[in-house]
Amino acid sequence: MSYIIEAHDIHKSFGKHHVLKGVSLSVEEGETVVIIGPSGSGKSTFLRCLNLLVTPDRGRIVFNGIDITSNRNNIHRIRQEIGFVFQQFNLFAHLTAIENVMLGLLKVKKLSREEAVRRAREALLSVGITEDLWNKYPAQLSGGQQQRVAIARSLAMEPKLLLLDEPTSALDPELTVEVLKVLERLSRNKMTMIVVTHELGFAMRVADRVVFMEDGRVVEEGPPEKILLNPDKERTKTFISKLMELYKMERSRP
Amino acid sequence: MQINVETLFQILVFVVSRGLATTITLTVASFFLGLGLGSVMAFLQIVVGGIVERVVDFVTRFLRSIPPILMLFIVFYGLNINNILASIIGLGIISAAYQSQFLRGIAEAVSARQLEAALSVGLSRWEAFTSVVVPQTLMMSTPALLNEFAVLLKDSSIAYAIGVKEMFTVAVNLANARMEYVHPLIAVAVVYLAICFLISLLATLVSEKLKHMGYGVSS
Repeated sequence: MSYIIEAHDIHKSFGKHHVLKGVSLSVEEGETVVIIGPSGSGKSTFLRCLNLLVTPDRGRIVFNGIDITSNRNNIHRIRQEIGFVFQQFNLFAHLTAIENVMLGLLKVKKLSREEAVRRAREALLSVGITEDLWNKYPAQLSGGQQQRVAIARSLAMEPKLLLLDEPTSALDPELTVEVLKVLERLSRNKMTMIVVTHELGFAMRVADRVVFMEDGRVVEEGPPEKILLNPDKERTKTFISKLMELYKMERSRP
Repeated sequence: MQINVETLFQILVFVVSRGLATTITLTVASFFLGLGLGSVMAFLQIVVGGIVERVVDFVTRFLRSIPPILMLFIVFYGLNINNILASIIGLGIISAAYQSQFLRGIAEAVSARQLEAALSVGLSRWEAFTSVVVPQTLMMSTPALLNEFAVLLKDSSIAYAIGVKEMFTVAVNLANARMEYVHPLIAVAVVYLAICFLISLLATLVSEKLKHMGYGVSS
């Protein structure tokens, strides 16, 4: 069994606030792992620790066989192999859609302009961003389009792992669907992904494994059918039923 | 007090033809000196940090506490250089203090939104700074920079005190010769007003455009 990433006993505090209290998680190649949990449970911080956007206070992260927590020198070169998709998209505001995708190809991969354009087009088309949108600036795109460009920006770097931090939380429901469809296809094509999300339907359909986090710890993990429908821990049950209730309320809204 | 429009117009032409070029020279030169120094100061504060950050912070506070006219006298009499150069240096280093402050603020706001994304793509901190933070900071700073330009345009009039023949000096000298102050002062005021008004209009247009391009919002 080959793990693409292994996190061992990750701890992180911000000031007095102990956000992560020893989180461990290993993900196999081609696996889609969904992390759920209440806000403030440390999900986003944990995800940011995995590509060292946040430096853990304690613990070890091994990516592709390399201990990146003790090899920080080349971290920015390693990060190109770990895509990161943000809740707020974080596209580069001064660059067009295609330039957003090309920046890393030119500066990090040092590709020629023609090759970068070719790869960027390919990546944009793969997430359904058509030619008419390539030269638009982020502010001229809808949220769903921006997020898909952000996904293309990560994919163009040909990452071995894709981290997604609540990729649909900032989107209207109808735009959420177009982003989830892209993620679903990526998962089918065996892209290794760790997704923090509240979309239980997505987790049920797509995840190989669901991890429930609370208060800086992993409470429970397992296949989606087990965690979402028949969890062992009382806390997991309570959280899921609350989330379900919220969905029903949203569905029944006029 | 009677105002003769024809006289006013003649004086206005005189003041512009004799003094505007020098006023613009002082303004443009001190603006770019301020932008250059201010960028270096902002850079030191953001990228180097630590003790350097505190030293630069102290220097900006110090510079902002000195009346511009006093600074001109210090540079002029202290360095014993020609009065135009002294004015440019004096105005420029005070402007640097102000420009470094807003450049730093804007650069930090840009970093907060975009640095993580740039690092995630695999850029180094330096690459992220030069290809993402700097271009966006310059674009977002345009309204503030235009405003600073207008401030310098007006402040350049204090070069009068060390005898630079810029627009205000030309107007005052003319008034002394005519022994009549109303027309020359109104004429020179109209020129400052017109230029500053245009700049402020431009600044408004630019910030509207920037808002339209999605700068300053949280995405």
